[in-house]
Amino acid sequence: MADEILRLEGISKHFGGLHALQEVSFSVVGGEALGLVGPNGSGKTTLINVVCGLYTPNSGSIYLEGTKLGKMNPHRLARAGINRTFQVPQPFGSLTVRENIEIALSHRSGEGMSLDDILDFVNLGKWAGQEAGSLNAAQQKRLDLGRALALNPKVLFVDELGAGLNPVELAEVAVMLRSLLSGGRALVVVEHLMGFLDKLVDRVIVLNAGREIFHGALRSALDDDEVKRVFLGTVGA
Amino acid sequence: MLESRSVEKPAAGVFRRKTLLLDLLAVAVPVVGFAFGINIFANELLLVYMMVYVALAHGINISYGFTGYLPFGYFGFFGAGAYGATLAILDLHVPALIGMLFGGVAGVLFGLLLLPLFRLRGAYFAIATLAAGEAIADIVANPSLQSVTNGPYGENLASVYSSGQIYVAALVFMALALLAVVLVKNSRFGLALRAIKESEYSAAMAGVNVVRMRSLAWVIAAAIAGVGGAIFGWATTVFYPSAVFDSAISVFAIVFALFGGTGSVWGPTLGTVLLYGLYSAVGLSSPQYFQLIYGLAIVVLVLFAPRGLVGFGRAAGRMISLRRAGANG
Repeated sequence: MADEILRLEGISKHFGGLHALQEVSFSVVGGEALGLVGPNGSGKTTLINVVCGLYTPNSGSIYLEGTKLGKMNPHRLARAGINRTFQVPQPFGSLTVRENIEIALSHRSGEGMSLDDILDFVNLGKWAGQEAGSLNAAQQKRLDLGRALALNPKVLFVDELGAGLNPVELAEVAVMLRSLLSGGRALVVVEHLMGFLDKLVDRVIVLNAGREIFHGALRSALDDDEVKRVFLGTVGA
Repeated sequence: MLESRSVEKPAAGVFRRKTLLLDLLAVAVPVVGFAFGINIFANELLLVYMMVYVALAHGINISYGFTGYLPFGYFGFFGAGAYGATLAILDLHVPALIGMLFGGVAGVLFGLLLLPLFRLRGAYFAIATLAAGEAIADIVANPSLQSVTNGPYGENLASVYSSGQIYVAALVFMALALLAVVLVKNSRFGLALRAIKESEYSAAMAGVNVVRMRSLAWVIAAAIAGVGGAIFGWATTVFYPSAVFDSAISVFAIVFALFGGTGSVWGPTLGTVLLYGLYSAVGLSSPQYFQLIYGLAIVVLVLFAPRGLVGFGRAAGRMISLRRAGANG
């Protein structure tokens, strides 16, 4: 059995009266890709923001490789092995593609992919000397991925990397992401595209209004009445 | 195989020769220019003030151009430096040149005091620093502190005045400030600051210790302003709180930096030499037109060169690289 990389226990996050996350718990093991799905506003990105240090949870605990993480700054979490991509890509626009990745590489203490490997992996080698702000959205998302990989994360949250891609590109991205699972890395993939997830993840967690409403295999989720109600608004029609 | 390669030390930490040479030239040209300029243009005090403003504009360059924090209250560091140096010279009886370092220390101490303001963003941060600058000005000018700061009656450094020493001190100070910017621009530290300017959170997720990096940049900018204020006070000889805690000092430094273009070594220097030169020429010959001409210059800047003078050079460079990329397929 693979080692547990990340465990969340009872994570809740409130914004005033809005309960963005309520008692969310799950774990992910090395070499596993976990899907995180739910309608817009269900709390997926909030969950990533909590785990990656942007928000402090109101309650709950986060464990990385069995060690409880207290309140940590995002850069400490990134260096410890938790990283992410962004739903709306956030490259350092005035820096070159190469510099975007070099920044993260300069803060890595252990081993991992080299600059050239990362550029090749995210297929941005040709644009290495170009300002990141001049890339298109799909390229910027891949640059986010490359920058996260530079810190050799143990668990990587991938936030809607497939949005806007055609089926061929989606298949390529799925293969690319699966290759990241080697070496014991865990992925948590936020995505609306079920076909894409089917190629990539072993199980999914479905969130709705901040609550976990399903946890299990993707195929089972698609047959679950509550999941159908949340996504389609009806059951058994 | 993508995994388990050893870390290649990234080129970001290594000086890139081409840009480094251009940056070093941006240090050498003004230093040589001011070193020999005194033989051509005899108004020594004006040149000293210009060198101080070149350094101040580069302090703004580090705080705003690289890191994205605009300190309207930059004059607070300047005034703290002027008074820190003066008190060291008059009360501790340190040599005037050493007193300039006390000015830098005073600027840094005031900068450290304002670190909590980084909880604020954008205009709120800028206005809060302005308030802090005004507050320290009022404290220094308070008559109840007359035994320490001489209150509203100002300070007199005539006993240590030495035009030659002041000129050399200003020249060395400007050179060091320019070298500091070159080091920042061409280092991993500078890269981290530019990332922070784009997005603090993304920079943190790239492993950058945002709090430490921006604090360090802030302290460097404060030290520059502190020493600048000290040299200004020394050169001015007799000054009042209103002369060194003057918000116009911040405005000048910011406008000079923006006019030339921030994030570069050439920009703030060009901006200062051109605009302070214009200020001095118009202010002396036709002071009634000064504000009109200065205002027009700022309007032209905002409308046609929002990235400053060096923005034109950068745009040309980008066009060339895009054409090359296109030609290469």
